[in-house]
Amino acid sequence: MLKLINKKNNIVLILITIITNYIFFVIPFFELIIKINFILFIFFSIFYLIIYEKNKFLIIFIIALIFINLGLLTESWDARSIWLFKSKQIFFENTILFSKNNYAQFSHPDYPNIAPAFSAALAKLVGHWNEIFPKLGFSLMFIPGLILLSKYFDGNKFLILLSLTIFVIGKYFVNGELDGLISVYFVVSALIIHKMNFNQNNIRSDEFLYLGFAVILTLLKLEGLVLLLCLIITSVFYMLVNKKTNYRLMILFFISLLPIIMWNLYCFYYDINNANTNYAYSLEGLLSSIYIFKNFTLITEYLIFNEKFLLSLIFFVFSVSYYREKKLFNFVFLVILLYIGALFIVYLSTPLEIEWHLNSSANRVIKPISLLLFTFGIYNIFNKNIN
Amino acid sequence: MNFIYNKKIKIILIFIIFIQLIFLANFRLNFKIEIFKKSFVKNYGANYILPKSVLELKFISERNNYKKINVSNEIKDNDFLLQRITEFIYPTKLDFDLSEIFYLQSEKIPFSCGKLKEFEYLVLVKC
Repeated sequence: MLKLINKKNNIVLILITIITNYIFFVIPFFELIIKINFILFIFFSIFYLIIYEKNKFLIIFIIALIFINLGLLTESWDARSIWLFKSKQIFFENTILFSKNNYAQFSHPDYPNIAPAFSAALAKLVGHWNEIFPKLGFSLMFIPGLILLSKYFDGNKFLILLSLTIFVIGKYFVNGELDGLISVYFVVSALIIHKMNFNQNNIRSDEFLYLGFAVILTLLKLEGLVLLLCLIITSVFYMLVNKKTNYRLMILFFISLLPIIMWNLYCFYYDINNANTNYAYSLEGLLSSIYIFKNFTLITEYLIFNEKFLLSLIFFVFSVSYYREKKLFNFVFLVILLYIGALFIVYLSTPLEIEWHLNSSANRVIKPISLLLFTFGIYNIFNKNIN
Repeated sequence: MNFIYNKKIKIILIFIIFIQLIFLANFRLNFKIEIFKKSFVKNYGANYILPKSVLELKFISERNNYKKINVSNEIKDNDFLLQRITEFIYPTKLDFDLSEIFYLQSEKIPFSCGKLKEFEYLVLVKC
């Protein structure tokens, strides 16, 4: 039976275990199934890494991540008060729908919670809670993303990309925050969408991969939805410009957005909100701050003059100007333009003090774009069709 | 052998990644081997991060099997303390309508309230 699991199916199976874990946590009676599902995740991951993974260094890297993760306290506010507190609530309540009580609004009960559900499943398997190991669940979720990057970038290309990924994501690999996961899932989704857009042959085999990564991306954090929308809008734009409308791809895009739409409907129905949405982002806020020039300079300073973003931009521009690949440049450029535009709107309409908000989040929200630039820069330099 | 599969370059890249990971663990983050060794021990880790009063409150609520507790206004006004309590004592929840209230030892207790029990860092009063 194991022979039936080919390379691509195996990655899909790993992704499915993450998504089914989330589904099993909807109803609070599946504790045993949740444990079995988590064991399956571990089994499929190990199976792939041993049987199919060509770059065996990835195994050492994942073990190193696990080692570092388990030797760290959960110290940052986001990790403790948002993500691991959600995990803890899911662990004790046996459901992801605990949010309807709207308890502890500071912890953003309206945020989607696929990663906390996965971490809660790890705690279920272990059998108790503590302040250290549950965040390992977040680091384990990197496995399918790293596997796919290794599949697309073979040999030393992958090692260069891995080194650049550590440079961009750094501590977010292990500290219990989700910004690293968002970056990796976004970049992998971008690679798959780019492949489906420009290498029209054999895209059907990538459809499940796309669905798996895109659904998880949107259910990680709100930025995940914004990032996926940027990819989808870019993709649809190219279809329209090239007059090659791919309805199958359009349907796929729609399906990938359904889970997060359902989550938002659920929050709307139960009036689930957080301490910030009570005096929320508003059109009035946007209109009142859009005329203040200082706000634009502040946002530019924090987002664009971020050293990692600038380095990745230089790297990408160099790669594109040297190895001319106009289609790829346009694709990446449009995605970045849309995302940075969205970030400007968010920061201009923030109900919080703008500099405080930028100071606490700008370097994190720009990471997916920095990683995208490095990844597509490498892809462009070595310019080999991913398969 | 081209660049992609050159073994010398591979070794250099692996070395760089290890240096990055060591830098990450030791300088960007505070990796401790003693934490790693006990990383799966039940309830481990809180005493490194949380104030003593929060640890004590968790201990009291677990020992007495409290489903809900209330805390003083001073604690409510202290975002740091209130959030740490909310997270750490869970599944015990905060209910601000309860008449039995936990005060910090350093706090002044209102005349209208009577002490029920004193702990090392906290006082339980009824108002």
